[in-house]
Amino acid sequence: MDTDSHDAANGAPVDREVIQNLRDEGENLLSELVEMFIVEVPGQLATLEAALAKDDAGATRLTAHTLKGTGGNFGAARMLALATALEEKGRDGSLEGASALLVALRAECLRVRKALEAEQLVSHPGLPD
Amino acid sequence: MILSALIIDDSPFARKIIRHHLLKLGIRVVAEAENAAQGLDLFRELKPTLVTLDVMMPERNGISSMTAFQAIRKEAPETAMVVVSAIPFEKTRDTFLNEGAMAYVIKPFNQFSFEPVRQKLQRIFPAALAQPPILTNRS
Repeated sequence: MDTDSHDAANGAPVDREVIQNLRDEGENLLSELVEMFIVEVPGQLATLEAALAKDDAGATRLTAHTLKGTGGNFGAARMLALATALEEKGRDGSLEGASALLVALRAECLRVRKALEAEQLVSHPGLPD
Repeated sequence: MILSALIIDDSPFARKIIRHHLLKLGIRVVAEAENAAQGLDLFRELKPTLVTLDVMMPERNGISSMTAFQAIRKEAPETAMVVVSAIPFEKTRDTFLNEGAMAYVIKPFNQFSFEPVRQKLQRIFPAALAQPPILTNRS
């Protein structure tokens, strides 16, 4: 039985089968995507936080959608679910409870980042810490 | 002849992965767009052979993915339209295929994702594509 494909259901931050597929593509694709995650996601979270502070449902929906897409490309199921919940709140125009979701999403993004950095070290074991 | 492509996807991650897969097929990516409105403008300017279009993008300037898809189909029906989606629903897939999409590719991608695209393009442009990669199943 392929246990990797059940990572998401088991609460793993990323789906290792998806990560392995990216690694198999070679040409540093996985490393470049991990670097993009490290660079892009903090800004996306900051934009989301600003949108919530302004009670801006439209900006919340758009930024949450972006984070949902980011998570989806790594099989990051919980990140995707939290971002989807925020996107739906933005779409509904009701941001009650959204701040708590953002806290959870921020923590999950950190978990995903750590998992991706670990996967990057698997790809390039010679990299310094 | 080198085939040209336009990638329309709001995720920079997805754009990078799609670009990688198209380059593997020997297709030149001439532009990328982050929403359907921008994509439609770039399509009209560049007239690429192939367009990849994410179906789940927020609407901008009143232009949704479906609007862009239908406009491209109407203006240049010879364009190879590859619809990209995180939605594996048969109904959504069938809607786009019935409307003339060449292929419906599901995210997240794997090494087989763009194989139907390669096969169909191979039939239309037999001399234009890179040789197919050797695909292997991991056990």
